[in-house]
Amino acid sequence: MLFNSLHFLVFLPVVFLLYWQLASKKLQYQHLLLLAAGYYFYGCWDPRFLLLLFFSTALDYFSGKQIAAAATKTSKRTWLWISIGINVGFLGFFKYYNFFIESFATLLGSWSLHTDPWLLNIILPVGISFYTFHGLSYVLDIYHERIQPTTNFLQYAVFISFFPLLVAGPIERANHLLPQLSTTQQFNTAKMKDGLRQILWGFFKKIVIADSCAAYVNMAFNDPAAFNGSSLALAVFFFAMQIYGDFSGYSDIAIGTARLFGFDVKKNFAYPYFSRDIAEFWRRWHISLSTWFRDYVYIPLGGSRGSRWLSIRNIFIIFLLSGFWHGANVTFIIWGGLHAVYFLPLFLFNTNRQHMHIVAEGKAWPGIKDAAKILITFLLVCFAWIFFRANNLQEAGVFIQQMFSASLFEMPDRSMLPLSVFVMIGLFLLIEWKGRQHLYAIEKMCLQYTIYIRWAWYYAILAAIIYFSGQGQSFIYFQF
Amino acid sequence: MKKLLSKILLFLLPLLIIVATAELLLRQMPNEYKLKKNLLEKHAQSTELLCLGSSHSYYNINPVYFNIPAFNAAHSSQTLNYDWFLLRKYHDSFINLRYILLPISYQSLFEKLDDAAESWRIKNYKLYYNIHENNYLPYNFEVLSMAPRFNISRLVNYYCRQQYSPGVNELGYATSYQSTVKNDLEKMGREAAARNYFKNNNHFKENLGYLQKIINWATERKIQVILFTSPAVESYRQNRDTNQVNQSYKVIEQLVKNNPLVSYHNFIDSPDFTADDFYDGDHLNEIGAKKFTFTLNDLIKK
Repeated sequence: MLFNSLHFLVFLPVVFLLYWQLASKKLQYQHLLLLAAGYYFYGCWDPRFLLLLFFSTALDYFSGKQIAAAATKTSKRTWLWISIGINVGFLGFFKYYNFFIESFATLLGSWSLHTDPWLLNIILPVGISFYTFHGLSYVLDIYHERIQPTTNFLQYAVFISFFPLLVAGPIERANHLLPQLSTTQQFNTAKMKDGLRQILWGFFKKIVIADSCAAYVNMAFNDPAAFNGSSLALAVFFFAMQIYGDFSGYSDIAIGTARLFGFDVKKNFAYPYFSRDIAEFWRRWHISLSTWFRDYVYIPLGGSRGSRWLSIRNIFIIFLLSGFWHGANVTFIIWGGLHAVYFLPLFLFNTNRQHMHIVAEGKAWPGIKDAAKILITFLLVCFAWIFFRANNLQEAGVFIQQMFSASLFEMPDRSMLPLSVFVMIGLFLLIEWKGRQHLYAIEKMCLQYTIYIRWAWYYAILAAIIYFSGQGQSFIYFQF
Repeated sequence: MKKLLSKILLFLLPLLIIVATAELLLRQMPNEYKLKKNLLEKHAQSTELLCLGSSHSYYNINPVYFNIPAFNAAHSSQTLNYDWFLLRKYHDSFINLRYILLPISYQSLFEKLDDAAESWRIKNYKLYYNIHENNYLPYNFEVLSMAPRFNISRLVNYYCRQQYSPGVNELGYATSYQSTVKNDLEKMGREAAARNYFKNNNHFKENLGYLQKIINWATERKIQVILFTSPAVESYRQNRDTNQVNQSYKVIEQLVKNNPLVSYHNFIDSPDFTADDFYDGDHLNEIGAKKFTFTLNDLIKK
């Protein structure tokens, strides 16, 4: 069930009304309803994987209890590795089996040892990367004694299957969401309105920005030879807008929906394209994933506490893992590796924590220096996006070669100059800039005006969403 | 919560009114399906030759040039299942029917409208022909079947600019593909071949089933079924996938062999058709359609 579907448009109000009308008095009823909603939501994608979701939930709940109850460190570690092993095992099998088998076959082929790779027709369970990481964060936090295991299986099951976050995050932490689940949620009108506003903005990003850019991106990446360098450069820009609009839009819808049920979910994006360096970019892009890798992989590996070489090793591991998490393709690993290369100089010169606050805080516009930094960071990120978007290394190579040819300085192809899309992107970036100090761009916009002006503003956003809808693009991050 | 819900409903009320009005206005607009449905019902009883099929019938056969009463009941992207549904719906009305003309094109046995890029056309069958084989709820509404900006464009063009041409003659032939328009036939032929290529044959068996149903229905009534492949430009012919072509030919061969009232005629590389006869890579203009109809007419006379 997609967020931008009629099915969800019916599903959400029904669950919302049942939640606040029937379940508002008793915590258990709220949990049962959310659990049913979560399993129904997931089952709409593929009912065959409901068992996997349940198994993963039960495994981590049970492992968490065992870890907490274990008398010795060795027993704790054993239970931890059982949980990690099985969870990552499932993830590895569904997501990476064919990749490894094909890579192994290619390696054998390079040694003139030919074999028919035993490939399987594996369907990737939607959201497995996300709910697996939810569960792993729970057992890891118990192991590191940051939290106590919950004794309420229903509560834990709701934490894992909470439908707004289930298929594409944000990756929530047990120590943030579980305490909220242990209290009966009270209806809060201001929170509801805020949630609705964030959902509206999320749909704008997804439908008006991301889906509009998708057609041009697909055109260029499907046949780069048919376009000149400047057109391909434009396509990369469109992809940067598409992936940001798509993923941050989804996150906004998820967070806003969670708020409708009284829950606060951590933000996942904080205006990453206004970053002044790559370190800042990674503090603002897919925050839930980057912090997950930081807390559960980078820091346990030693972080930056050890020698320089150890720190560099850890940085590369994190970025390569981030790339690999996205999918079983060398291009994602290259993408992660590129970001490691971008990050390294900042780390080596100790400038990776230079920009901790939003750019031009309290000012209307950035200075020239900051503007230049933003542009350079954006260009570096865009270059890496080529690998992220390309289907394979060869395609990426062809794309880059064509883009950086002499035709980069020609006028772009007319088919890549859609005026309406440029206008929308321009307005979008302006609104994002104006609202950069808030959780989401329109959080505080027009609140100081009368209801008529506020509603006119919401109608304008809604009109744009309706006008640009029907382009039929699914969310990019559902494939992860 | 009641106050918030009331505010939400109040906020959405103008939108709901606009949507309802748009739905009403869209349904009031003339369209090709509404028009052809009325024409079909008008001519069904007198029709001796019925053309079914996709745009390869719709734009390529002008029943005006047949010697016997004929009607073109084809539509763009109409796949075999909808050919059968139309025939089944009006089967009682075709009391004088003697021939069915049905194109078997490169994609006919592989494509199904319900999964195609133009699946939105199903709403026309539901709303105007009253054929409800597909249960997807949005197809019961004009506003939900197509992207809003297309519907807005339709409304503006019709109600504000008074721009609408039915594009269909009295006997159901599409009149919009005119010889005055000069398209890049070579490029469009390649594109059409690519567009009509199907990697898998998920619908093959099902389509064969519908084709057999049409043949069985016709055989029971001693109606001849004339299968044909209409002319196309060289770039279209050259860029078709050989496997897909051969699978279709194999099936047609069997059908003709097993059904005495079924015949097949392949005009795809007929030398009688030149560049002047084509509108695009796989459709004829009005000159080509006239020529092709005369060809089919001679075939029927024989």
